[in-house]
Amino acid sequence: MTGQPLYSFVATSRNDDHGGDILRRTQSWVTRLADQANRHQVRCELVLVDWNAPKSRPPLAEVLSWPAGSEWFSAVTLTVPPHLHRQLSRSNRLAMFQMIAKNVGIRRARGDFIIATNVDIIYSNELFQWLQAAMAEPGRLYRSDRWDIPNEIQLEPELDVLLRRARNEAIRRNLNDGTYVRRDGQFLNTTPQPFDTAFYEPLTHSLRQLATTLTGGRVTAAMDHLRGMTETLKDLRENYYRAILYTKLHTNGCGDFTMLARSDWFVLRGYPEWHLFSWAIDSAFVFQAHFNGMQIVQLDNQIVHYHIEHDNGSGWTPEGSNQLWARLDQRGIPYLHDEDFTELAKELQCNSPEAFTVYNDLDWGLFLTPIESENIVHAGTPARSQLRTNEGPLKETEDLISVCTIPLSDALFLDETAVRYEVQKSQDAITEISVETQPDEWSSSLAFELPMHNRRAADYWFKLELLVESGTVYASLLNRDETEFLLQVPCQGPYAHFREVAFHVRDLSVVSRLVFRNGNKEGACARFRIRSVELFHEAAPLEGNVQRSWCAEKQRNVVGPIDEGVC
Amino acid sequence: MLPKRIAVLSPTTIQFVEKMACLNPRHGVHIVGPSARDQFGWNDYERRMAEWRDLGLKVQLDSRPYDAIDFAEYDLLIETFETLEFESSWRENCTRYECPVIVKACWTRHPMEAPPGYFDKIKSLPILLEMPAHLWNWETCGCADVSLVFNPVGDWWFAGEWTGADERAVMVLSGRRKWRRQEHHGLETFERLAADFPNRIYLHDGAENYRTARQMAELLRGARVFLVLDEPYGNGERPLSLVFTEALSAACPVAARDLPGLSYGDYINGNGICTNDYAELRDFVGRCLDDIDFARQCSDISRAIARSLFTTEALLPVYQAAFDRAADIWLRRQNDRTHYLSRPTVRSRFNTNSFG
Repeated sequence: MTGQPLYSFVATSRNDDHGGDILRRTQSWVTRLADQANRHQVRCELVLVDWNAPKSRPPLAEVLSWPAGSEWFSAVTLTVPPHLHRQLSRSNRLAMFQMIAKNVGIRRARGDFIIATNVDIIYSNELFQWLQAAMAEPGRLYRSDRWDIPNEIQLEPELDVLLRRARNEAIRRNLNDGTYVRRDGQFLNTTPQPFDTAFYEPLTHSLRQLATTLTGGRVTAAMDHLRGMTETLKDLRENYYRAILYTKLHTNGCGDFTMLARSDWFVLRGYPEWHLFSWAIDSAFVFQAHFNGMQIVQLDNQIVHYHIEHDNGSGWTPEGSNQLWARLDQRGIPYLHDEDFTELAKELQCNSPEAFTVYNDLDWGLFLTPIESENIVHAGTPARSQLRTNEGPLKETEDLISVCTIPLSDALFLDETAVRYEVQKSQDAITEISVETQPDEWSSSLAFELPMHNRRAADYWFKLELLVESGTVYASLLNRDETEFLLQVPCQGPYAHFREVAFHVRDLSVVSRLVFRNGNKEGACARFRIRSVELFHEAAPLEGNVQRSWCAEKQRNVVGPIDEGVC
Repeated sequence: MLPKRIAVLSPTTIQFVEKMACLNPRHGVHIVGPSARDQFGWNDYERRMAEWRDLGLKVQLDSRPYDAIDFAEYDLLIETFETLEFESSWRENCTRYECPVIVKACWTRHPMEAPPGYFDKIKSLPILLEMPAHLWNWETCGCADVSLVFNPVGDWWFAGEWTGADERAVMVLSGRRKWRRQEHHGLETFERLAADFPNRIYLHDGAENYRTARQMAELLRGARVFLVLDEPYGNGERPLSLVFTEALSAACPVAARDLPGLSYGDYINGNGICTNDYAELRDFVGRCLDDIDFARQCSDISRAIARSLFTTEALLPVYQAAFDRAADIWLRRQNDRTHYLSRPTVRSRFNTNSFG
């Protein structure tokens, strides 16, 4: 490549099929970014961080095809191996720390401006015309609207046809004031208004509670409630103004396009490196930039990027959000909640404008760790077809340590008169319990007392070998007082064969029983068979093995500090 | 226009003071702060004061403790990052920001271990580095204005004609038996050359045999070829050594090893060789020693390169721009304390595992 790239596009992925067709979408991102860079003659660098690359699969660099290098387009892959991932807490449950991965790329990107983005994005002509005009300035964070497009549009071979279809057939527009969904040819804002969610609805709820208390004749409690409402109103007022900020700062879909000057990314120290699912961390970063005194610039509403739709539950979509949260809860993967975000915003607000708030130390983006890099596309390199393809299923090691197997003979049949049970041997001579639940929704049928011995401070996992023949069964964890369920994992049948159902519990000492409940509405029974219940705990994260050294060394294909002598 | 009153923070190296004084021949520089307490004389300004006067450099010394110095009297303060290592009392004073400041980092790899208040002070100031390998570290730690800038050599290096009359190759390495005892610094290559060209390869060690700046210029003007055989520190940590810039200015042909990091090859084009191949290196040295006409051709090119890169005239615009930026930042910090680069950094109470 001739000269320094003007823009670096940084994204991360791993070869693990997430979202259904991740390789195809990543290929679209790579190919179309190169197309646009060459077409508009904008010097662009693609930075792809292959995070926690599965050992049973080839690296992304080898399963993707790469366009020819040119004066305008270059690409580099950075590989973060599993042992580095394992050094982070909660790495057993979360295969990808998206924001830390992006930080690895951001810290090593060379462009004057860095665009944090994702591997399922295609950039519009209008956006590239704006980039080509080189009007961006330091001190500003740039946001562009994201339009969601049907998955198959990415397959259009002609870029112009693809872009035309994307513009005409977008199914959603993620704008600053909400997500607009196409219905009957019109785009309707489906996001509740900030006034309703942050003020009106909580206030209405509180007033209803007050009414209930008064109806019950509990005057003293009602007076307490009223007194408390003074504080509540103050909070609601603050929440409302913060909710307005979400729209003003255009956090909607911001992980797909956030652009700042390279030096500003470094001043902010990249995305906050919390060990969480990536949800809303990108928004927190926009808030951080705003309250630290940077200007948030929303590009013209035609300067958009297109997001290739993925499967429900694999990432956030309005329609799949419930599935996503259920999956995260089941696997014990933490994420930022609204209350957390409120606290973050409060702190930023409180520090501003006198102070500049940072979340990371200066070693963010794995600065102290040598990261293997490959300058896979640069001026003069010919186009390269994929070198390898995925073969066989993905195998990932979980680093779980078996605690015990709970014998099926310990099963508690909770209502032997109403529920049909059968302890039987399968054709392959494996013992299993077959259950048909009561028809009432939420009725409990089968339970296992949890062993009390050997509990230690660790994250635990349950693994069930389960076949749901019909209906939905909830595998639920009951608390010690037997007053509430701490976790309910939906297992929706019918399954064709036995499946492993795994779920996480952080503190086993608060759990008394594992209970199976009927999840069917309208009086339908559920039928399931269970073969085993096993309990595991997570191995502790690997001790940090960070090399304390800090010289950039690019000649040996190691970007980042290395361990060497003293000056 | 250059600031009139430029202070250079002490302790720092005598070479750095000298080069900063070269930048401002009209007004010179003031060395401010306690004198050095080093054992090798790296910071012994007194030894050079008379010499500097002789060269026309204006250097004044104010060795009072930092507490007694009013930095506001100066138009510009040039701080060396390494002063934190040289003088412990600077740590208590390092956050003082009383006039425009630029920071020079000579060999510090990154600012991660700077006192937090000091890092906050310097993060938006112009930071001038000497080693290319450190650029990435400093930039990505959030220092907003980092650049690689070389030192001007001083006019006396161009004053006389190159003769090559001593008919020998010269290598300069200070402290071979003192502070560099554990490191070889290319001495094995030197020894091979010395064996191949008996009595024609000379090593000058300033720690053993001190020469004034003028004497050094004489030494190099008489050399047939200058040898740069140094090793990079770690991987790629090499400054463009002062003596290399001085040798080019004295119009010496040069023979350098081609090692990772800073490549001397970028400053050699028809005036020498930059190679890792010993035979090539040896052949070039031999030709310079045996063929004065060839060496003279190289010499002319060396001086032309030096004139375009290492003179005060060539470097002044770069320094002037850095000084101007320092003045702008000074003004901005006085007038716009809420600018994002003016604000002091605070660490959030939310850390890696605060949530979930």
